Amino acid sequence: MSAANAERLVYMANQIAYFFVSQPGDKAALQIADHLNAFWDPAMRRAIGAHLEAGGEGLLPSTAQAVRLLQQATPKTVERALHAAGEPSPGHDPGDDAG
Amino acid sequence: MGVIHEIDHGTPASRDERRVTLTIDGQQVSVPAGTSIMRAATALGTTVPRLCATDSLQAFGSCRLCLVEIEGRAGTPASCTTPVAEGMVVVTQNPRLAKLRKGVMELYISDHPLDCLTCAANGDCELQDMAGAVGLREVRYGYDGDNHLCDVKDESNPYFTYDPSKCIACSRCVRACDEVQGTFALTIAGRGFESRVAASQAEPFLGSECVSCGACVQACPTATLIEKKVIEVGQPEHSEITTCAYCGVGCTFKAEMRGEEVVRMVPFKDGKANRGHSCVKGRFAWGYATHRERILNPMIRSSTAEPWREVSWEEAIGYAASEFKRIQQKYGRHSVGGITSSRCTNEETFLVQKLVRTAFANNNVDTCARVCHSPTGYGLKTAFGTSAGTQDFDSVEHVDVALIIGANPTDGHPVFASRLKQRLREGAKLIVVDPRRIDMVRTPHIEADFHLPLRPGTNVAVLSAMAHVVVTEGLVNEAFVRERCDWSEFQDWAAFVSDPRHSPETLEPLTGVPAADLRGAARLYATGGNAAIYYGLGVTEHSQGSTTVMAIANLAMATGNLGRPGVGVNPLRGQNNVQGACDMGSFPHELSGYRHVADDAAREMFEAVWGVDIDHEPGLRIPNMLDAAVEGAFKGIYIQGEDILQSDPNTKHVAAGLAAMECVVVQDLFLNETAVHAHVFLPGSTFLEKNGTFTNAERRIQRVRKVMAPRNGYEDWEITQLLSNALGYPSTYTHPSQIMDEIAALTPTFAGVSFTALDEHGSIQWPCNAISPAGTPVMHMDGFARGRGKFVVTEYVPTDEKTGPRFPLLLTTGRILSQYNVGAQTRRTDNVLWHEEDLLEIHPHDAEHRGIRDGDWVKLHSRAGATTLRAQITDRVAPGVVYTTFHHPATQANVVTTEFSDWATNCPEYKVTAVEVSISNGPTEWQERYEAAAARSRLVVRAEPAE
Repeated sequence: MSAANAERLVYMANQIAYFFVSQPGDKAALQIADHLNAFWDPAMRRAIGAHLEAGGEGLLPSTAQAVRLLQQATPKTVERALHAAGEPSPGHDPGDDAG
Repeated sequence: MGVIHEIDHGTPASRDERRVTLTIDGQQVSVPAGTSIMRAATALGTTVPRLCATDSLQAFGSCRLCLVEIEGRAGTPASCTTPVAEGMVVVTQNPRLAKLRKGVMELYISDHPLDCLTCAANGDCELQDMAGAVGLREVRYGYDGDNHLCDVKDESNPYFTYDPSKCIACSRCVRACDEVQGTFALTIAGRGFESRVAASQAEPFLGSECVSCGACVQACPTATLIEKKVIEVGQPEHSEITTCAYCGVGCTFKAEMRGEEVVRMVPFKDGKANRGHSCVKGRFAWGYATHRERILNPMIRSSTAEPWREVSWEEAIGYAASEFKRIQQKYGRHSVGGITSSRCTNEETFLVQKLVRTAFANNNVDTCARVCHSPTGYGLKTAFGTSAGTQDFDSVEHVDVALIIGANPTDGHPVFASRLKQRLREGAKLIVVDPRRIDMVRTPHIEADFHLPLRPGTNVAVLSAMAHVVVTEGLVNEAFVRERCDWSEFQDWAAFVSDPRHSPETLEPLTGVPAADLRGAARLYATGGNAAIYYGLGVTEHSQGSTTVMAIANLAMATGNLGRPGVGVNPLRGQNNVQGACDMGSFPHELSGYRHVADDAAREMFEAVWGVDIDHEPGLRIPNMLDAAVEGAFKGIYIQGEDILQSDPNTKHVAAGLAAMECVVVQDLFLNETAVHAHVFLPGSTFLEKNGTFTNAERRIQRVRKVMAPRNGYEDWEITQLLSNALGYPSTYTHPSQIMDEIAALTPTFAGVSFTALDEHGSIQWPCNAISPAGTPVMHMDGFARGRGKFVVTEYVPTDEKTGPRFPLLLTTGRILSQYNVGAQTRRTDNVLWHEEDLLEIHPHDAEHRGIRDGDWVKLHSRAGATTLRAQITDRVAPGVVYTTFHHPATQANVVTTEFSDWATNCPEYKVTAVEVSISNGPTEWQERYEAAAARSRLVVRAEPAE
């Protein structure tokens, strides 16, 4: 992965973090991780994981925490933990027409 | 099969629920109170002769043909202006009335050219019909008196002519312009015999305020205002009901035909989105279908440095398939993907995403909604549980307060704008939140109660300030919130917005919106009755696009403005099938009906029907695909009906991504800008040449009906099917209705949708299932789709696109009425007469500071790139803000826009780019280089004709 791509992924992940950090409660890391699982393809998630392992330059603390979660837990585990904490998973939860 | 003729009831329907019974010509009839006698007569099948009356316009009573006798009343009142009354006894025909009518007709005909046989309206002329209806056999006055037969024809408009010699001064055109369109461009100039229709100050139509919507032409009972195409071709002999392929309003049209030639597109009165109205694009700008630049033969080339080579369909499809297979074998399964189009039908879109998930065996599929309304999907799903607008367009008739934010309906969604203007003229209030003084702020007979000219990029701050006023001034609809929403989340949100840092006064320096105006607007929205929010890309195309959508939802929930007609959150979708493309599973993370690919139950449903395993991980979005291409990991793409090089941000990055790919397949009508980088070109079909459905901004699924054979040989869904088969995934549909049947079987909200049901109902708004078999005009009536409405804290995070000494101005982009998106269609019509180039709007102060005069060539540059275009000096934009459109490839406005995007969806931040503007004496180096490369890239080696 090029430096430019790493920089872009870090920027995008931090943007996501800014939103969830501002939400009430202390579930930001779970919410960020769930968002990344829902919307980022596995290669992008692996790339940002590799960036974290290489020092994680530029990652906000909550983003770094979320990326660590990606490495430690499956997407389903993160989603379940989020639901258990009483939060929806906007990416994963079905739309109204899920039957 | 003939031309479909709708019944003209003469005057509009009355909405009064009380019934009145009367007798007309000896027959009893019961109609709503307030109905005209003329309309009541049509209920009995009786057409009272008339010329100035038509049911799209209020009764006028000028032609004096529709006279009737009423028992017990003196004289012969006009049946169009006389309402029914209980027990009334009416006679529509007797010798006295016949004599009167004949006398009136004699006067009309004495000043009318008697050229019926050579008149373009021959066979479709109400004056001719009425002469027949009243039994006119002679004109006692002769034809030698004063007349208008030598009046000069106005042929300035490219689509219709105005021939004053045929005008009967019935005012139908003037009233259509006023009542239906709301432009007030026409008038009757002069008095008595001198009375003539005049556009603006008696100017030629083209140069007047006329917006060429066609309402006047449609209303004209003679050939005074008539389509040039009818003059050229003659009267149509059959027609078909279909749906417009421009914008998210989704107007229903009658395509009136002679053989396979379109004579005219006439808005259909029973169209539930447009109610018989149209704009210049749908009504007139369909000539691109037969434009000489249309590509009709497939073409391939192994390198973009080579000229195109025309080949057979078999060779083109075979080449594309073998390239995709080669690439996947060499670089891996995830190295290819596809893009579906919001301009194509639901069935075509569904098929492209199916091809990607089955034949490519990955989820690398995305759609152009990525760059427009993807934040709407995320935001509304989070708040309400469904990724769509809440209302139908009819809802506007019940609106008391309309809040328009980040939308320019008169240009982007003109037919909806006309409907909104009708309601505003009835007394509804209007709030406009927009950096520019869009036309809705002040237009004839309409003036916004509040215009909040915010600084671009501060939507969230403005909405938080409005919420602050609502909460701190006690304007919350607590009963609604307690009953319908999560109370605990509401309290968190209320505490957040109540913080003094969100007060209008604190935020005024940031947003540029005067605090008093903002407070007034918030109070009006919260207390003015039914309040509806209409928004567009000025909301979504920001780094906080999704947050803004959620802030809008918060405001609507807090004030109880959801779940009934006249209220709601209404995204005005850009393209004709943006809603449908999203519904059809075009996003890389979800299947049709917004179900994530990781959802085992949903995936298994599709796997059972499609017979393949579906990847349970999300694929790449368009910007991710381009990033991956530049990185060398993404090598091939199938693009149906999109021009990402012109429409997506940071053109140089898009070009680099496309150039890095080994197989770019473009399926389109024309060699668009993206095709400069393509290796395979598959000629596509127009909406006139295919069957299918579009879904408009109000979730309305409507039929698109084929009126001519595809000139390229195939409908677009057939081309995708050919490619799928060549890739090894069998596809055997014989009609798009079968694709819709599959969509319905796999998508619960479409469960009741089929071509048969659509033919029966005309259109259906999803959800359409066992609970709502006829569809759902207004959503969340009894509760939110997700259960309780979710209030979300919307912290304002300023964009990182900042102005500074190098780039002190903010550029925001948009569209104008006559052009559509990248202009591929509208630039190939006479609509270019209204907009032949992109212009840069700049405030007089900013222009003066830079020595720029109106019409000067200027260089517009940002950190991403530079382009040149002409300046238009106007105070529509605030100081510090400049504006342009992206309709013309010669300008390529997106050379200037950046890769910043919405945090949740990657929707680009088109609406905020820091720029500088300076005098220029010619195109930029990029423009010159690009123009030369594009010209080289379009060279075609024609196929040898068969022996």
